[in-house]
Amino acid sequence: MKSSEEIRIFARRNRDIIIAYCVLTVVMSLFASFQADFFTRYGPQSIFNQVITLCIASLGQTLIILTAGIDLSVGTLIIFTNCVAATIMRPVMDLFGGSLVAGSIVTCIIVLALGGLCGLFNGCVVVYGRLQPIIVTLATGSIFSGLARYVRPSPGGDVPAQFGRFFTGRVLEYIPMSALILLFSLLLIWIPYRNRKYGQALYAVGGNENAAFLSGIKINAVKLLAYAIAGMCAAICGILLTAQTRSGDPTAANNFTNNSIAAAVLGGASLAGGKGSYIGSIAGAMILSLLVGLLIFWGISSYYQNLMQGVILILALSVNFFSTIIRERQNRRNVLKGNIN
Amino acid sequence: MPEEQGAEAYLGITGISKHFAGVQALKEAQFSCRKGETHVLIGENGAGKSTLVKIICGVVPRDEGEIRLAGQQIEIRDALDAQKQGIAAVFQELSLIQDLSVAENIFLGNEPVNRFGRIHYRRLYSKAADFLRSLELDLHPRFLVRDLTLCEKQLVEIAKAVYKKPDILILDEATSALGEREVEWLFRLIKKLKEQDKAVIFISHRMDELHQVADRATIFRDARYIMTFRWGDLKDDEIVEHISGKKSTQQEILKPIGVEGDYALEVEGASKGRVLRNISFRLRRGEILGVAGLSGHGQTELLHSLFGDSPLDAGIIKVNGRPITVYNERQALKNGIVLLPEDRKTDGLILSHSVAMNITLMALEKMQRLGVLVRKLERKNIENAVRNLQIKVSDTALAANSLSGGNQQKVVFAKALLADAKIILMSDPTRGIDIGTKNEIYHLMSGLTRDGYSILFYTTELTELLTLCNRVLVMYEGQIASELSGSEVTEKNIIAQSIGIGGAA
Repeated sequence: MKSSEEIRIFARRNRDIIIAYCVLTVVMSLFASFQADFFTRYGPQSIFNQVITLCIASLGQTLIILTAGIDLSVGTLIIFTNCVAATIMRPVMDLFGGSLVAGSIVTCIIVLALGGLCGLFNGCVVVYGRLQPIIVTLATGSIFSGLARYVRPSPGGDVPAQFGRFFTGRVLEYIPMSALILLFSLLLIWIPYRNRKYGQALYAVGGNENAAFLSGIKINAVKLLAYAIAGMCAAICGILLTAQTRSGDPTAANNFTNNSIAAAVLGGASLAGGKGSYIGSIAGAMILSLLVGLLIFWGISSYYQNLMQGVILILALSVNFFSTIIRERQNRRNVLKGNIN
Repeated sequence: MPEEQGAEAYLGITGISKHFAGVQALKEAQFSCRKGETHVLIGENGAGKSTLVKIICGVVPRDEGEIRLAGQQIEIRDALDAQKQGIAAVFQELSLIQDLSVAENIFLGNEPVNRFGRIHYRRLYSKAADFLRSLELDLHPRFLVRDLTLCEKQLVEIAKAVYKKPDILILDEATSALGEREVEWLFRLIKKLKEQDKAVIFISHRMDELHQVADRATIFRDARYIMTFRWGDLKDDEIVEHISGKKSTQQEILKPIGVEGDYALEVEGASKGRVLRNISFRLRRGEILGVAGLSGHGQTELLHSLFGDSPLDAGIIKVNGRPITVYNERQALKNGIVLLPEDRKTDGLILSHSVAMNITLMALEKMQRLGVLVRKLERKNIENAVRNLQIKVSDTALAANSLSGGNQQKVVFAKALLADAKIILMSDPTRGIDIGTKNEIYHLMSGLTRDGYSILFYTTELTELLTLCNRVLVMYEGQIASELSGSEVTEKNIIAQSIGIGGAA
């Protein structure tokens, strides 16, 4: 049984996440009222297909932000893995005698490993080069973009239609595959990671690196693992993009880098590190993705969509900011009251 | 008085040396402590105590020397190693993670896990609750550390170290952020640990605390071992001599009483929420007016309010008889009020900036011509400040965090003095500062009053009030419980008033 005090502490600790889900509810309701097929089986499918890539991208971003870093290379790493997936899929399939299933699985494994390695490379430069993550990922982002162009000098690739349908379709008639992927990313990546010593250490390293060191935490290992997993998340995102577009496009511009950072922050992550969660980031990512959908419904020209997104982001963050100020005032009052009584 | 070499030394350290970027932090230092004793390390800031502690804990590698534990020579490579050897420490700088809960912090790196390596959060919280209860600490294990007061954070820090069940517990200035009640709690804890045959290494600059806990003491000076003695074998002034390395020439400080009827600062009916209630007092020109009371009874809030840091709800403030409004720090400065904040590391200094930049920070307007800073003027002011306050720094271009605590505090003084404010609000200016520098600061304060400065002086150390103040305001529950003056200013009166049991004073 939870005492009311424990509930209060829980609410206090997860305040940012709760706010994010409230905002998400509002956005979702608006969305429901404008999308005709929202309550059909196609509704959830289209929603989850819209949000899944950003959700996964922001999972990786959240890990890096928790270490007090920032990953500016997500966007181009997604493109790189997308290009690799689209390019090698057919040759790999041929290697397995044209088997679609074996070919797809092996392709996915190769791309995941590649993403993990790229992430690990980021991590190594940050940890052993003792450089700022923002600079390192800015540079490696450029490298990934160049590699993508090397692999696929022009947009294209050969992705079987079934591969695309599998990742964007439905399971058991009603459940969108994208929702399952989101669920698996939560159950198989985030929760096991968060609830282990490495996950706990991630918060410690980002919150106060010196304190983590004094507590005997292996800081380098924690960071390297976080970067490697973040790289793999980008690879998952690349694979999903491959399924959605059925091609690889090295010249594609995407907003994954900016939006994944925004999503994490909307979900309560602090760029100073040590604070944030995937649960919150999912809400952030959904809000951002659905907003774009809303703007399209409302017939707002795509020129203004970015502008609107930016304005809405600032509004959402200032809600957070003001409530922080109010809460701190209350806190101070409570603390002083507590001392006097 | 060289001490007999106890054969039963549990931790023995010999010939330890350590350089930091050309600075000798320890030179062939030695130290030994036994089980079941409280061993205090004393010495000025920068004498090498903290470095020694960090070497024992494996946080800082030593250049040479050896460490023996229970007769065995050991290597301590990192914090985890030290923990395995039964050594735990509370370091000077807080080492808690703000966005984790109390329990998560206590268990950091030691979380209880199930078979699959999953952290068992329910067990973590119930174990933490039991543990905190066993320590008689009234802290909720689920509270975020960010929401705790400095004092509570320090308690968590201590609990975290004790949880490791160390054979040797090291407390490096662990009491500096604690109130009197909490210090008493800590001393009870130390006694309990001693009864369990543990060794406690204790560092503090407060003599009264040392008198209560010390069994033996080791003095360090200028990175060197000076001596180890049984507590009680040396008189206080002998200890001070060994610490400072010079014959103590302590002149009695005359309590500056100020000019009767000439008030620099008058406050009437100052109130702020439930924190400050109807506070009235008058600060004479050239006086050091003491503010006393247990921590958390409104003293720091009073000082911060007068500086405009968190404005008052009601009340009149007069400077030189003229009513003023203080809604922000700039107004306070313009009216000649300056604050020396209690937390020099976060509020007083920009640690990563140079000493020079810190000194001139509040007075940059004075040093410009046509909106451009005049380097020559800056340099002159900085040199003056360093000379007048005897700040020990080889080059003012060095970062402020390279200085010892006492010298850092002098930089804060220098900065405040350059602001040209004649009313100085001091909030615990000697926190974590060694005895030698403390004395310098007392003389400095008394010198300032002769130059026409008036000081409102809040301190957590009673002896300072007794030394410096002719009048003392004792605060209790946000009110002034009483104003003591002259012969009424005694330890007994101040304590009685601050716990709310004093009769008419």
